[in-house]
Amino acid sequence: MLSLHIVNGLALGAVYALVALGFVVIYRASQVFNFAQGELLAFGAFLMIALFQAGVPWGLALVLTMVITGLLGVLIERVFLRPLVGRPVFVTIIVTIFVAMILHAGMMVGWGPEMKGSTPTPWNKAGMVTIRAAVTEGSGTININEASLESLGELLSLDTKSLARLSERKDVRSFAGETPFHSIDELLLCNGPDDCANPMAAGYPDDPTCLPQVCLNPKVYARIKHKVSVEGESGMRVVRPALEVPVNSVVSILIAVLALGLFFLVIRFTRLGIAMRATASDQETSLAMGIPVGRVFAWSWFIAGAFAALGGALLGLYPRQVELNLAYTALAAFPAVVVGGLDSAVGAVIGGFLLGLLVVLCQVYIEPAMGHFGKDFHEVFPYLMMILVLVVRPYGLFGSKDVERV
Amino acid sequence: MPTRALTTRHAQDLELFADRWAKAGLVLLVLLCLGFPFMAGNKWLVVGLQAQIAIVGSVSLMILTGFAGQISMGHAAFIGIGAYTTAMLGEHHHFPFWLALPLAGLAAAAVGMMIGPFALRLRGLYLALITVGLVFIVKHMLYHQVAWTGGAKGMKVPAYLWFGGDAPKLSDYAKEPLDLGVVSLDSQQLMFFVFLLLAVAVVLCGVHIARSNTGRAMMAVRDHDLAASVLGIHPARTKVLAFGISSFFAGVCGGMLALQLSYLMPDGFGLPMSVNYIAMIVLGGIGTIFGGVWGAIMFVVLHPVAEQLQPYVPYFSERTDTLFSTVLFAVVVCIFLIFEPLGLFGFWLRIKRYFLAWPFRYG
Repeated sequence: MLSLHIVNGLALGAVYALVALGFVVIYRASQVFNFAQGELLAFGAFLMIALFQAGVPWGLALVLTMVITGLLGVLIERVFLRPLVGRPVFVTIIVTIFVAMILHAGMMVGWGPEMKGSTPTPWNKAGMVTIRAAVTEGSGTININEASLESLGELLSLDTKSLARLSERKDVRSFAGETPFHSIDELLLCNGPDDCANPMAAGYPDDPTCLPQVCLNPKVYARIKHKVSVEGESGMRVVRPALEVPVNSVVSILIAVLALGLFFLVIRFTRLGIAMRATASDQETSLAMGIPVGRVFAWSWFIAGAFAALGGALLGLYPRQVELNLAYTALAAFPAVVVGGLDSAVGAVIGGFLLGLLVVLCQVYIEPAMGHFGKDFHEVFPYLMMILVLVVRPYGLFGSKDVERV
Repeated sequence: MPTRALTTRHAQDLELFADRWAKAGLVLLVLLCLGFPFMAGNKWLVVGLQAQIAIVGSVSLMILTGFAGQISMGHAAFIGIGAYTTAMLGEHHHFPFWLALPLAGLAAAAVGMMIGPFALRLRGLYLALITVGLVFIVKHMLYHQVAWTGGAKGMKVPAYLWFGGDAPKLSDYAKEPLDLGVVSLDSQQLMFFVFLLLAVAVVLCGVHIARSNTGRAMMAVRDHDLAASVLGIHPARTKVLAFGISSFFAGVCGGMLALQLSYLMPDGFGLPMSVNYIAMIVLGGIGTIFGGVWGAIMFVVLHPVAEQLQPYVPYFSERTDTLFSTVLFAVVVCIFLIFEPLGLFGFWLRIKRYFLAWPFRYG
């Protein structure tokens, strides 16, 4: 299970890394901390769905989403932030926050507050990549007769989240976007398609009508054996459980790594990259040397917007849903930026991946141990970590220390 | 309009209302404040109460951010601590509200002084993000420390007038107004005057801090803390003091908010509240108490105005939520920030300068 959590954590971390890098790119160029990053992310996710529904092929839709969101970023910079060059930090912070509010309201009016389903994928959205097949002794499935989904949930004393995973058609509102459904994965176990043709068994119900056949984890089976009538029991025993990770997580990580790699190549080897680095190190000197600083600002916002959109498209993947609350993910990415150091791109990426891992592992291992107080603790935990890191290193792990002159 | 008389004595320098015009303004203001609860309908009385709460909150943030230059996005946390302290003291321990309010301030100040030391090592954005963390942590506590705060369900805020659970409450006057002979006051009007007292006290405190040694030290730290320390100012002490004073008043503001709402939910004490308070001080004019007061009033008054406007605005006309007032406020703040860096205070300065030389263009 740990390796599954690590993959899921890295997938979430990939999104955080993209968002955090967006923060850093803008901050390095213009010393603006862009609180609208989250709204750009949500905008990207919405746009992706809208484009795909309009019939644009997936790859083109993704590219278009990134370009349009990037242009939106450029527009924001030109209209709201260019007049504020040279003003105190908190003024720019406030403006970006209020730009975020305006964007939020715009999306609320345009797309509505309801969930939009997951972002589209050309691959099977619920597919799993089998890293290691299960080893079983014996074979067979357990049929639970006349056990409706709720009663199964009662039997196994599932919480609402796991139950929601069992069946999306159940109108369970607490379907939390980010939760890796570890508890249900421990419950239901599929021994490959031959053993168990029912998609229910893998925990991903595509057809809600086929319920009765559920492959159970042997431990759970032992717990509920006497409570349900069991047919066709044939002594299945799993020696080693299968190791499967969602395709979505793997693809998220791959796409993000590709995009991040491309970014670092651009920064290292192109004229634009050199201009960006020069602007970051000294704006006035860059201007004097003939570097178009204004255009560098625009490019930074474009890159940040495009990365936010990509993050949104990846964050909205199944089993998460696209909704306006996706914007709060960017709030959750603050600790990544701060821990990495506000002006360090490498720090942001490392911080982002670390943060994703930390959040998922906290959800799985720390929250259950804290009882009621641990509920949603993963939202706070990164901030606690951030404060600890800042106490020891006030400029983050990779940030550069200010030299103070009188 | 005559210019301010030349001051020749120290006592003249210290006068808050130096010339005739200022005194006339003061009289007008006092009359307005005293008359408001009798003239305003119930809806506008609530707006008045909210304005007083916002004034206390924004002046307290002004002391921290405007004077001492410490960017804090954690104001909602301090207000939340103050609000819940008032609620818990009233609900669980039957404290009278006039004692719970300063205690709420002290509780918030204790947390604020704990943040202070962070401000010594961190500056600018790093500090702002730490205080963002504080908001999340406090909100988590409010949600999940159910035994104390009632969690997501919320808790009642009784405003006892004296110790003990069977003491009379402020809300008792809602049914039978307090008869003072000349006028009778119901609970809302009483609350207005209590809050007026608090708001005036906090504003005066702010004004006097700005003119005192402490305030000047804060401003020196804001402008350049290394230079300030060379001049013999203790930046560490000044920053911690600024956090302490600011969060004390923020706690009082939270207490007032709790009394006005009379039922507390943790939902409201999130980042948006902090953002609103920062917006108020920026809108009003950073670094001035004038800005803190008028920014707060403008913020509060914009909401009912937006409500009136909403039916005439396309796309928003069918909505019943507060989305439009959010957008209106956001647009107003953005315009102010881009075109008038000093906010309402800058606006006021321009008007004043125009009339100083009136009817001539330049004086």
